Amino acid sequence: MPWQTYVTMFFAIGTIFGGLIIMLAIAFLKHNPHSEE
Amino acid sequence: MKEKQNEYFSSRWGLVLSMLGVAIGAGNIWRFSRVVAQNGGGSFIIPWVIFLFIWSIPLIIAEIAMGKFTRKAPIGAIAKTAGKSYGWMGAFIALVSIGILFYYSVVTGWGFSYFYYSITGAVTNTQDYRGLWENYLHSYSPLVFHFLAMSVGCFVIYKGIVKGIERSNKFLIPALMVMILIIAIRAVTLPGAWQGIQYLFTPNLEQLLNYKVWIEALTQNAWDTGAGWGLLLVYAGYARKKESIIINGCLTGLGNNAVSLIMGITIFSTVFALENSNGVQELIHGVGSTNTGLTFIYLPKLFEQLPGGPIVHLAFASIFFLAFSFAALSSMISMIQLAAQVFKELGLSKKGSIWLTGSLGMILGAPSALNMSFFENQDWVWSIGLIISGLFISFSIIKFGIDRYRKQVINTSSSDFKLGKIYNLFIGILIPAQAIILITWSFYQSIQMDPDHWWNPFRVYSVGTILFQWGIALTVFIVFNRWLVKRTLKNAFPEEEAPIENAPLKTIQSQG
Repeated sequence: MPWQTYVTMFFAIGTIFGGLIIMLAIAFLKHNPHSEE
Repeated sequence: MKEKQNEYFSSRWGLVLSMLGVAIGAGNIWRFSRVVAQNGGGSFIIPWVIFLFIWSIPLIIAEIAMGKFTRKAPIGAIAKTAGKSYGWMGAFIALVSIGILFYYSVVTGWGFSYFYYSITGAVTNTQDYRGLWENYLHSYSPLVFHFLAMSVGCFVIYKGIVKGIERSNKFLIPALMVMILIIAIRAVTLPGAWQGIQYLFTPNLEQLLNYKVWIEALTQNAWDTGAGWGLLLVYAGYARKKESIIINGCLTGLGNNAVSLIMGITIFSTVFALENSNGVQELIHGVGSTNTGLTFIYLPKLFEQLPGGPIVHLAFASIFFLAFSFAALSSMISMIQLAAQVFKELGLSKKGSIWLTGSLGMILGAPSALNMSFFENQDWVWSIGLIISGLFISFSIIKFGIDRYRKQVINTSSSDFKLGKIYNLFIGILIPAQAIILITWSFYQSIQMDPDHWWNPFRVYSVGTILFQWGIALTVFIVFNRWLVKRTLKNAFPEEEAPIENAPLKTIQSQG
């Protein structure tokens, strides 16, 4: 399999799923507005 | 009469799932994979990821911020942001989403019907998938299921924000995710599936340098993420003050594209495992090259080839069409909410606005249920209208002052992040430029396809039909702008929210 395939896969999956996991972590661990109300 | 807004999404989880419900729709399932195939696999994926960050997410953030701080549907939100003279732009944004609702309900009905056909064995017992679909289209079943879909959607809206929208999305979206994952796991474990995944992620330099691939990637993001529709704006109007605009915006955009990517991996794995590279040709030129062809003809044929016998075929077809129905329904619910809220802000009661939306939806969606040419025309006219909606949102923020909007409306104390000055570049230059390129490209393609009749307003895919339908709508909205804005802004803002344009900077920052 060409190296470009791995790079694209890493770029797409890493960006989208990585971003999603980071955002979910921030949303539910760092700051939950309803727990303060 | 003063009216205090007293209903909010009860939890961040509920709000995020509801916003994901807006973004995740039929487009993730029936459009993404065939567009990837038609634009060179991995060559498409790279610009598709880039446009998520330079079109969808900035626009989603702008929309959520506008909804949260104006607490109004599009007419009032644009009037409060850009000024009262521009309420007609909000009316156009609302009309585009309502126009889509009328035929999207038909799509949701197709999903319901095919789920029913799957569990009763009609889909898996036939060999003539095209015949089954065409017979279905020429019957009254699409109309019956369109009515059913509208009724279910209106019932959810009638139950309210928390008991209706939030509760339904708390069920629909996790259930959808589970179903998609079940299908994905089966697909990637088929012998030969890896070839499909390799196709999906292998770029071709020639295709990557082709501007058409980049325009298609932008188009997919513009139509698929729900950015600029006005739907997230309406939901954000029911977000609590402490909700972070940026986090919710990023989660919506990323979550939507994650579902598209999973569906892409699933479909390419299945296609390559069962039909080798012939399957890709089906997606590019064959029966799978259209949304409906892929979903209702080609995929059922693939399910039939899955190893495991009739029970497995029936199970996977049922799971797929139930997932499709849930994705479509969750988006449709937000369109009904938008329509009902516009009517409510124009002076109708809650019940009256839902009845009006439901009745209009059933009547004006009926031609799309009975005639595919009418359906395709409406899809063409209003899906391009979405680009204008995005442009209008961007214009409103420019009119308000992008830097002021960023500092006063987005970067509030509830934000986990603060947006930097680069955001001004996205809203002020990149989004308007992308919108103009997309409109020009769509019109150019349409003229190229039908050079002799591009001006004809009665052709399904002409530029003329777009200009004719938009022209009528815009003329009416501009003429009645004063009345629309006056009626919409008649009710005072909820006590704890102050109108942005009148509120001093200090007040707005403290709202957070």
